[in-house]
Amino acid sequence: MRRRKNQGRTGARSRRLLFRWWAAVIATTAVLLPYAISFSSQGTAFALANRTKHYLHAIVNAESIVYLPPGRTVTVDVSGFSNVVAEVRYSPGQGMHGKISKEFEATRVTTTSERSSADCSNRQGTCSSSTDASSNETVNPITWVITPDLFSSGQP
Amino acid sequence: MQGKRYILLKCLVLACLMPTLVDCQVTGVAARSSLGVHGGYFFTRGSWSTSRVAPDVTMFGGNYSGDVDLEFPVDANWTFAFIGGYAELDGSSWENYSRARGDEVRVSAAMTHVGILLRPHIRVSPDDLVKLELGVAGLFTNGTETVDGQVYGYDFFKSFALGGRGGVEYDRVLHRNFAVCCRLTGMMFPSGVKYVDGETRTIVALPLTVGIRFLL
Repeated sequence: MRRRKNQGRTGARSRRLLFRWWAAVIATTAVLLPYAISFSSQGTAFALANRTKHYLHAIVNAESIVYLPPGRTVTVDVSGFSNVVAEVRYSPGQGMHGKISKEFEATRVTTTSERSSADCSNRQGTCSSSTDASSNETVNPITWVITPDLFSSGQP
Repeated sequence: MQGKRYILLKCLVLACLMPTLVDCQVTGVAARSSLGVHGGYFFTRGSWSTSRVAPDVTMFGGNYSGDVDLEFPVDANWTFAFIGGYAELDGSSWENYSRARGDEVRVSAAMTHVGILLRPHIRVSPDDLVKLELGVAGLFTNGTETVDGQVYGYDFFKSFALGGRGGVEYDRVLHRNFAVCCRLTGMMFPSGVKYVDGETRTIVALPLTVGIRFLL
């Protein structure tokens, strides 16, 4: 009889512990998960500037941009593309109609830097010099400023 | 669409009243493992569901939805549940608004939600059980907008948003292995929508469902 009572108490205690453990796991996950996951991207940028008074829809190299507010600029990562193809239209529901597209060629710029140094610590009292050269290749950022006249003239 | 929503609400009310019309066997069920299958309506609320162009127009309205949940007892009056559900959003208001202004628009958007919940039980009688639920929820949202034949993806929907879920469910046990239930839930996902200019909005959804619970 006493053995059964003890077994019953042990079972209830185990369930309580299990319940508290799961509650702690859920609470910890809910608090920490947003900080545990982060995404970052870097690369060549294409900037689309909306200088109209209406919202815009755009497609830049198959990436969609919707409801870009008037006066705002959005930057799209176009790394790995030799050309950038952008198509812009007025967002629906504004009573404005018009669509323009333009292709940009990504221009590569090579920057070379040199660093010279001298070492005068030898026994003969003469100095020896060395030169390190490094080069970085970057792509010029591309910006397309959208103004109302582009839609009316039909020339981007 | 308005007529269909009215009929659905009438069905939901009748489903909740149905247990009083059924002469059932008293079973006296304690917290048990169970599988729930629900269907109902997914209401959307908040500025995230309206158009940026016309804030008075609903872009993502409510629609029919379904969900499935699996419960496990952790105590005499507590259960632990995993839940998953799906709902397609209704963009007809925005489509009609745009069409009136000369744009042919078609909205296609859907939400898949999952959750881990704790449910304390409040037993009213041996066959009537009220459960509260509270927990963590995840939301997967995607959608496209077709404007004059050109398809644009809704870039402002986060592929995954983390939030919370709370609600209440009423179960009427009709048999030792079977119960009918209705449930009202609220879900909230902070910054579930993030526009290209950095503005964020909180997704709020209110699923109202009825269903069947198989007691395992």
